[in-house]
Amino acid sequence: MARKSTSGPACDPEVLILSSLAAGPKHGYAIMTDIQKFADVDLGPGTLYSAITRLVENNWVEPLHESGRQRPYRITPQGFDRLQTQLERMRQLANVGLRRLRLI
Amino acid sequence: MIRLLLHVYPAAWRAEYGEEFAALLRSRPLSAFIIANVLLSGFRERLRQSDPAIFCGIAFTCVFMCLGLFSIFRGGTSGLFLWFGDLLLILALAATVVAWSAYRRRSILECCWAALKAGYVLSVLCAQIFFSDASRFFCGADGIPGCGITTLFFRSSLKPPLHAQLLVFFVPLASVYIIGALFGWALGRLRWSLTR
Repeated sequence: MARKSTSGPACDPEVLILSSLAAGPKHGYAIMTDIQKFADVDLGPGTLYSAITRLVENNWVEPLHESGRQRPYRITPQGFDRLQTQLERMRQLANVGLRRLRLI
Repeated sequence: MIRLLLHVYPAAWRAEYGEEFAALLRSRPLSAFIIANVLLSGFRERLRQSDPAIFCGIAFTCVFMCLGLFSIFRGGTSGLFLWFGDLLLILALAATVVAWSAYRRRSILECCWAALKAGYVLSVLCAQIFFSDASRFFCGADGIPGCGITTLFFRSSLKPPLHAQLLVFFVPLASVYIIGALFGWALGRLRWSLTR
């Protein structure tokens, strides 16, 4: 099976995870399948948890203290701000690029 | 297999995320991509969480080991080349001693071990400056004794038994250095896993 590209601004694991969690709390496997569905990006489990570790350290995401092996995570207000800033920047970039390509 | 893969990650990380990460790995078949992805991420996590001084020491030691191996394959080395290799070893040891002494000083035994290492670095440094033969004796001109000792030093957080440390420290034979280092590391590792 050919692997899809996981590089480029739209494939940043942190943005993808924050976008996934913006719809509601999810555990690791659910985040991975959600990202695969809405972004068509296959995040490896190592990449996913490295990104979750950084997001938790930056307080953009927090674990929900539930028992069980699959602990869900939810986005924090700071995480929402971060995601909004990132997406705004991506939109600006996309607009400039598309205009220069005369596509809009 | 999953347990082995988890051990690529630092212990603190495993304590926090280990269980759910293992559950995620069990949820799908382990392909070569997933194994490589986990190995790389685990290594990155270790680098990210390790002390910069230790990382610096490891980097120096890697350079030194390459130089040592290169000198073995070349079959002979020039004085300048040896001096450069020994200098790198000193820097590697110094970085390790500084990092280890600052962050791992917990008991008298550990303080003694840190002092011995610091003394070793100083003696090598003095020997390097004043007696080139003695420097070879301590450092190991072929790179192998240095590798053995440095391996033990990097593993010293696992607390090898004192007699193994002393054996490695004072017996001036390259092969004994290596065997002692491996022996000390193995015993320290065993003790560490038993007392966890």
